[in-house]
Amino acid sequence: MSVETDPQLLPEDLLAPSPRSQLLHRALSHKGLLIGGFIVGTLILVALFAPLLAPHDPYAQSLAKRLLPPAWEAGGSWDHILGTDQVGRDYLSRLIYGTQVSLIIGFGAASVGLVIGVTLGVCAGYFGGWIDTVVSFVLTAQLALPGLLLAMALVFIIGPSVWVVIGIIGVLHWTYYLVVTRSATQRLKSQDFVAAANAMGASRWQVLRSEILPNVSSQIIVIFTFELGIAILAESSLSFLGVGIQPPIPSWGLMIAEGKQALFFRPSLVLFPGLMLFLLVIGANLLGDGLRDVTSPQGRN
Amino acid sequence: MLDNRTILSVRDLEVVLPTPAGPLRAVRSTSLDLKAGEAIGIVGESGSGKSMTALALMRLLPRNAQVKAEAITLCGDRLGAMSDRQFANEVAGQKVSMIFQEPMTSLNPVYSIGRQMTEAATRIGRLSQAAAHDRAIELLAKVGIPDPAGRLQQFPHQLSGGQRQRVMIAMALMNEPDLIIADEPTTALDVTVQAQIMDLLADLRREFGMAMILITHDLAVVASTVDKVAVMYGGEIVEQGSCDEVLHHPLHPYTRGLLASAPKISDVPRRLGAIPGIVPSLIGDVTYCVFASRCPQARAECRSQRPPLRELGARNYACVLTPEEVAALPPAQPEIEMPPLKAAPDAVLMQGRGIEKVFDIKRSIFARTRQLHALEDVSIDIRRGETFALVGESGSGKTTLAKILLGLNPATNGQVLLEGEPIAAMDRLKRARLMQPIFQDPYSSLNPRHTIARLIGRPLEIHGIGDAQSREAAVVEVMERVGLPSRVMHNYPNQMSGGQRQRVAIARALVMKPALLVCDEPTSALDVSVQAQILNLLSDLQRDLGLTYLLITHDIGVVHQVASRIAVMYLGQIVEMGDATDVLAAPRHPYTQLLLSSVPELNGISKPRRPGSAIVSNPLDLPSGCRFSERCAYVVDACRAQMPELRPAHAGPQLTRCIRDEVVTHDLS
Repeated sequence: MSVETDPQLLPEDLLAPSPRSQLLHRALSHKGLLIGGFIVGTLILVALFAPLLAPHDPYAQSLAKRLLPPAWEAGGSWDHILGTDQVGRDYLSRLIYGTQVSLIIGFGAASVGLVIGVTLGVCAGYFGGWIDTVVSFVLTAQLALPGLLLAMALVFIIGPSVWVVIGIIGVLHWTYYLVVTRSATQRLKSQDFVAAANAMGASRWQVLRSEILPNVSSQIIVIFTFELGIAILAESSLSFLGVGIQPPIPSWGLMIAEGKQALFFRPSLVLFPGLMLFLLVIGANLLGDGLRDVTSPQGRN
Repeated sequence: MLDNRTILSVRDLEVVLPTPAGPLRAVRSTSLDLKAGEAIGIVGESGSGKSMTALALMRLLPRNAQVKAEAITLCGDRLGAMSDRQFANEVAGQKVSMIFQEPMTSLNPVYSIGRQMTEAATRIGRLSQAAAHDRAIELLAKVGIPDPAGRLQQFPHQLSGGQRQRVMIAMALMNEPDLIIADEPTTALDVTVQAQIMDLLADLRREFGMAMILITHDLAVVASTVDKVAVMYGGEIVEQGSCDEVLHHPLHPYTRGLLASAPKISDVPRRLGAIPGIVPSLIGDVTYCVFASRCPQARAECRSQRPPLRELGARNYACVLTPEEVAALPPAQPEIEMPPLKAAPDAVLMQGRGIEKVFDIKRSIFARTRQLHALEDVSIDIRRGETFALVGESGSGKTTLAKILLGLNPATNGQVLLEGEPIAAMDRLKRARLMQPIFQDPYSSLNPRHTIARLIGRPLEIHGIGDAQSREAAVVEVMERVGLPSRVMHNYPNQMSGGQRQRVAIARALVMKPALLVCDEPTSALDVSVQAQILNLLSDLQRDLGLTYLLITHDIGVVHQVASRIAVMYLGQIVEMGDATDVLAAPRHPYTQLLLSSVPELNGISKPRRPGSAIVSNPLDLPSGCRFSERCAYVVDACRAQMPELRPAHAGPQLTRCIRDEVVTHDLS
């Protein structure tokens, strides 16, 4: 047996590839990440190219063609593959355009919550003392408020639009980020590498940015994908109550809300947007878990 | 009980753990024999399979582990044929008891000591409740727990670490086992407590005639407590024989290397003989000598076939070298004396003046605030070019002091001067360029999210020195300096061994070219062979770069190896300070004396143990006068009357905080 093939020496002889190529290699060999990335990527493409993909104008009403069934059911036609809604709009086109609004709301609201929650959580965990007390009080106050009621009241006062809905859902969904990043930061703060960074003269901002944040990123990613689904569902509840996205703008949540009226004789009106929502949430979760696995150091080696 | 019957006989024990990378052969063809009353020490570094062996004997391995053996016999019963249920009912805790490493976690916190002790005997109906109660009291008294009857009602958190380990030992003795397996029983304890626990185990063994397997990484602990030694490496016993022969005339190159890398405290410090490399992974079939990759005597055949097991009377070892060839080898530890460190007394680099640290302890909002004096009146000078060692056991305040000296925590009172400038007022970047820390645990001191290159180059980035290219060049240079190949640049810390990580931490500290390195227990998380590599590296760097070290440690061996001056700390005070040679050769404070006499030594001569209790006073409720008075064997009334000052010793060149230091000296002769 030559030295080169010696099982003990083999790992020593391998040159460590650059971090970027290592990352790429791990990403390409992670099935969940690939499937999740494919689903989310496809949905983003659908949202971007909605005008090209949609067979009909999503706003065009035709009372003559109200509540058509999907093409494969009796009475359906291939002109409206997924049928039409109560005012005769093409359901497929509305689903495709609805992708835009739902993705914007999902990602937007989850990001707003992320910024608020992570900022407060990291500050509370790192600085402790009175900052922690204040943040904990704000958290308790937030948890004590009935979220939906507050959202309704706010939308009522400010007036409904996509951006208002994003802002309000985001402002109401930061508690998970806060709780998780706060305790993670408290744990990290006492680690020696933070002391080492302080001893090498790093400022507070440098410590937070390059020592603390990278180590809470995997938790943040997981909560983000979780909140993504929650935000879209929250939008659908708001829409259902009439304070979310305003008709006739198509959004999945609103479509579910509208479809409920005809649930018993056209279940497909609820089923299709529900399926899209399900796909997006599954995709986002797979993507999030995959990103966590690929970027966390435990996945290496 | 001087019968000659064999208690335990193990033939060809194999443990295979399935891992994602393939079957890990954690223990291979391991054979042991133990007679009644005999003690065997299983010695090895982490990953050598010594704990696996013990866990396999106790059937405590994870369910997916495969344990095979040609035969395991305990007192004549074949254990291999027993079902798990039968083993649990008839053997575990009755014929064999185990003592674990962590006394903090091996007792159940929600049950009283008494309940946990009596349960072991009443569960199997061996003793009645009343008899078990009496026996528990008797055993607690035997293991040296004061007021045993009262202690039975107490819960584990009310006891100190040493006391908990005593309770564990008493619990193991409840059913009068024939064999006790002690897995690193003293590793988590302070050295003065360790000495007492080891004495206790030896006494109990003699009294009850039990056989014992003592598993430890510390050769010196083995030297004074057991009859036989088995040295394990990479899942195999590479050498086995009587304690005396193995430790003084080792035959296997690994044993030789291991002994050469342990710092000795009874000798002039010489350069340590480190074993290069790291323990190989044992995945797949092992068709070679496991030690070949680190062996200085490795031959071609070592890499292609298993070495023969050579038997010499009662001892054996597995190596291609014959005893004659071994005898002709050069000594494993080079005959190089450590260069004496000369530092001019006036070239003071760092100065601590009257440092005091008080923590306010409050158990709840309404509780009275109590003050914990973590540091009191600590004044030290660190001179340019020396290695100043702060020595003390847990709770002595040495790490608190390190944090204050590093400028990471403020002192309640007092001042730290670095090159004459108060550190509190100093710009943090300037401070960083003068002084860098090296922490104890290289697993927590490196950010797991950064690559090695980024970790080492980070100080340069923070200080805005150079551009990306020149930083990389500086990183490569300093990596070479500390013995890291540049190809690991893109690795992450979790891909590296403990020793390599500590090298990364040293490289990161050196990249700013500081004058002073503050090393907080730099080697206590490492194996002894790796410790030797790091200690040698630190002294090479000191010689080449003219560095000054502040070394914080509990390990007297390390202090003896590298320190030029010593300050011994006890409960937040410096109790003795002076040149290393003076303090180690003739301590002038009873605590230093107790500490030194508690350190186990490789030559196995059991030293007369210095008197003194191992129970540290409660820092919230300190005794009046001298803080050591509750433990001191030389205490007189004057000691309790007034806190002694740190002053020149009557009978030596060092400073001491004992008013009767001349008595301490007289007693030594």
